Amino acid sequence: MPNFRELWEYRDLLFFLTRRNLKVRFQQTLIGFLWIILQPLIQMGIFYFILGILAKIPTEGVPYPIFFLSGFVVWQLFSQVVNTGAYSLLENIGVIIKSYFPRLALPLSQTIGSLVDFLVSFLILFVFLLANHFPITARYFLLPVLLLITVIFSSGVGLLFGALMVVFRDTKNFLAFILMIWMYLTPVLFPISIVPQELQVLFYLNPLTSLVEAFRWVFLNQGDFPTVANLLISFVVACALWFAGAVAFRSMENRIADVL
Amino acid sequence: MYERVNSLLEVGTGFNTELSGRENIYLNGSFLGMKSFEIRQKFDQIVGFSEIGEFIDTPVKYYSSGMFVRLAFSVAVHLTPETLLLDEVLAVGDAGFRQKSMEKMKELLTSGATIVLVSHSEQSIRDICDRAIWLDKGAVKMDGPATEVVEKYTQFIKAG
Repeated sequence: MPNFRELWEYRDLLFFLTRRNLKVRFQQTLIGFLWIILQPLIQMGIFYFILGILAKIPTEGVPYPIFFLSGFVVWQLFSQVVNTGAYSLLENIGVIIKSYFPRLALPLSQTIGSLVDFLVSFLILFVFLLANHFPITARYFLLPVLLLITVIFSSGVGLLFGALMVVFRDTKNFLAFILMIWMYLTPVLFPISIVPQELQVLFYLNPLTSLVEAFRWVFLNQGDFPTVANLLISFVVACALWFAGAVAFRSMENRIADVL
Repeated sequence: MYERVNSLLEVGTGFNTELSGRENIYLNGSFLGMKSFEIRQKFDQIVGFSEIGEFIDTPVKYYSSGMFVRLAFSVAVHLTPETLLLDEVLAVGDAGFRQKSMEKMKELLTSGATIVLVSHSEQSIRDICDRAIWLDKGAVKMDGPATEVVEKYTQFIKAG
């Protein structure tokens, strides 16, 4: 079981680790912080050109860039949390072997750092929404709930991969593919309505699908309200997954010194 | 295993060279389970001892290896050392700093800390340790009072 009390004792470590991760990320590149702004814009540009302009896929009356960004903010958060969580043990092997501290602080600090990227992408989306006269409704009150569920779910998946990475080093190679397939099975780039009926079940087996749709319900002011029951189920599933991830992570963290 | 074992197996474990000396002090302290206010209390002592001075806000990647070792050593001896593990770190640093490090370690010992020193230097073992374990190819060759073990070791080396 994750030791929450101990983690709380080390809360200052969480802060300094988060600061370290962000700072190192910005310092190692020439334009540093600008990348956080450029990344969603570049991705949007690429997919707008291919899917919006060339393939002209229908996006339910919403301009493609906005349709894309409204899903991308969720996907970006998820993939970043999963990626950093997966590598968090490997990348800190030196300090793990040589000192004692709750290892969970490593992926959790990365998760907190990913929220910075989310916030920036969200603000970009927000500007696009305002410029295109999308109304800012009471639906936005649901945003923190959706964000919380997404973060817990993503963190859980990240912890599972982090544990897997310790015992099975090939995880490095297939994680990129898993995330790629996962993205195509999430309605980020295209609406689920263009997916053939018999394949849609694949999308709905993916918990991210309903999260992305719920976020779009907030941003784009269309679609169905994700019922309270559905939200509750998502929340419980996300928490269960997080616990499973944390248990797996805890059981692997002690083995890392032997395996590496 | 909940005791704070402050380890310095390799000087600067957990140091990140992109960060400044100041940031590394805080990061290192928090790895050891210290609260930021506890680190703040010892901050001036650490910087003073390390003789880093005005470079404390410079990224560590621009430090000379001597500066790096001084800071890392200073962090280790000032942050909650109940058990301090030192692996050959005394070989580095200038003579003045080495002298100061010795004194600091003796001070820690009198205050009740345990120091595990890994070293080939007979002089430092004689100076600091009560008990010594002589390892040869991973096996314990001798275990006893430091002076006796060092004596036997010196004889063994001379005998070839």
